[in-house]
Amino acid sequence: MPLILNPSYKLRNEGNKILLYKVDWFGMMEKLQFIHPLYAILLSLFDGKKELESVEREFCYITNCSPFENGKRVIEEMLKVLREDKEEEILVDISTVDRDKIKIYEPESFIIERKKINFEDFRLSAPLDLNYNVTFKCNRRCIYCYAENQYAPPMQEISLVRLKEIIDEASKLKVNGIVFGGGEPFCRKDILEILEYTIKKGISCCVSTKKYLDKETCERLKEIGLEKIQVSIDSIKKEKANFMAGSNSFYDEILETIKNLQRVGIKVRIKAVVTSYNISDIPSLILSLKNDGILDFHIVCYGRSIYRHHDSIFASQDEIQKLKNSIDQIKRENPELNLAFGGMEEEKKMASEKEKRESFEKRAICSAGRSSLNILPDGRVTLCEQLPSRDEFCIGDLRKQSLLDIWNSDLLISFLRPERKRFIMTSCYDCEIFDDCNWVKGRCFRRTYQVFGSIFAPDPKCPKSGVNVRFS
Amino acid sequence: MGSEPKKELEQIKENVKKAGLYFLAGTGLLTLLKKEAKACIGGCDWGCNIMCSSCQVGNSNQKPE
Repeated sequence: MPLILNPSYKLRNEGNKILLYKVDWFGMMEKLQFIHPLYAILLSLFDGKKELESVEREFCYITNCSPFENGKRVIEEMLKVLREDKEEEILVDISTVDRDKIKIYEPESFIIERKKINFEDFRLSAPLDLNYNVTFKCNRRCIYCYAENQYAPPMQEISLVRLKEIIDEASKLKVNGIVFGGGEPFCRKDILEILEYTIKKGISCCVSTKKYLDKETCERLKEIGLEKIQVSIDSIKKEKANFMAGSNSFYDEILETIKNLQRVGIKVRIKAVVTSYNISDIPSLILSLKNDGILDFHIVCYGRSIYRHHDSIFASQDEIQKLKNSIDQIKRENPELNLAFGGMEEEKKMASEKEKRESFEKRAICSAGRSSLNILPDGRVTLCEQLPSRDEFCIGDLRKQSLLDIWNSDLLISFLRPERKRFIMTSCYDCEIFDDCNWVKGRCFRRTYQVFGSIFAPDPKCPKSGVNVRFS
Repeated sequence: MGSEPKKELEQIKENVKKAGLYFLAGTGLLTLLKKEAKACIGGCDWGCNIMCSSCQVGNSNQKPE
């Protein structure tokens, strides 16, 4: 049975190590891991044509590993290591993979000089994902929206010509995916051309919309190769859905959009944001749309918005727990559904400082400047889409600079390795883990800005910050 | 194995050797390889920069269940 690397996993040479990453439903990076070049060479020998023993023999041959029995044992161990902590099998039978998903890697492309191999630094050699705020225009006014859009000064959108050059560069840098957000991406008139160009360049597109897409637009999206799209709706009750989206025409338009997308064969994932207003409607939303053939749902709890926040938007912890139970039941009764629910803060009140510290230490690594960049509609670049588009948060300008120039700029690094003196009068100033905290995992810029009005302050989740604010 | 693939393998072998990636004694490097392979990081699994697009998401530090 010839095996091949599971298409959910991808490889990229980082120059001093190999990146092995898993992609999600949209083809966007979900998890990543660094591996030794020999692991990548081994994986790339599984080309879907050779049987296991041929791969073993080839690997032993090119690495001068003998006797063969020793080599086999080494390979077995290597594959065991690669399989650790993974939900899915890393190697799969070629016959189970869609033809257009098959990706063959050249073993030679993963050879790195031994003296250059370095696992110390987690920062990637180039962005893996780009978050592109296509436009700040939006035809909805969602009550929970975090986007700056109408609060930002008018912004001239970057030209299509320059945008294509950036996409060219992204492709050369082996950027995996681009998130098209905003604002409402379909409010930019040439969005279809942008998406078409991105798809042609082999970059995954993650598009989310609340706009009405007519039959012709959906047909065109299918033609250009868009396979999946996220559509947001927060309730199956018309009045509620319209209220949440801040638009009286939203409900009818979005259901029609879903039908139009399904008609042309574009897979739709439903996104719903849980607030106090719609929490009781979520199960009926899922079940109703399931009956219309939707299998993918992404349900998340409202997170504090810089611009539109009011505490009343938060659902209570009890309500969230009840919803979680309902969703678990729906999952059990409908195993065919791909139903994710998250974004809720831990209900458990952490009693001790130790627990708080451990929780903070376990935080996710911030992707800003480590694996991703955020592009504003006009081509300026910021670290995080949730920070205001002011110059103080800008780390570059794609109208004048390349992606790589920005990625390697002193300015960007100065946000990831800030000077201690910028934190004077805060608990970070004399913190013993200051350097590692900033450089290795990073602090959440969004949370910090929301609480302190500055990003040069403690992450509010850090127990030393003395802050106790609900964020989601 | 045909002659062309074999030639390719020889080239790879040569480059692997030049890069110093040869196994020295079969399992000798395995311990090191295992250590290196475990240098993992997990980004925002589905959080603020990947899946939110035009729509709000919650805490990026928590995974979907």
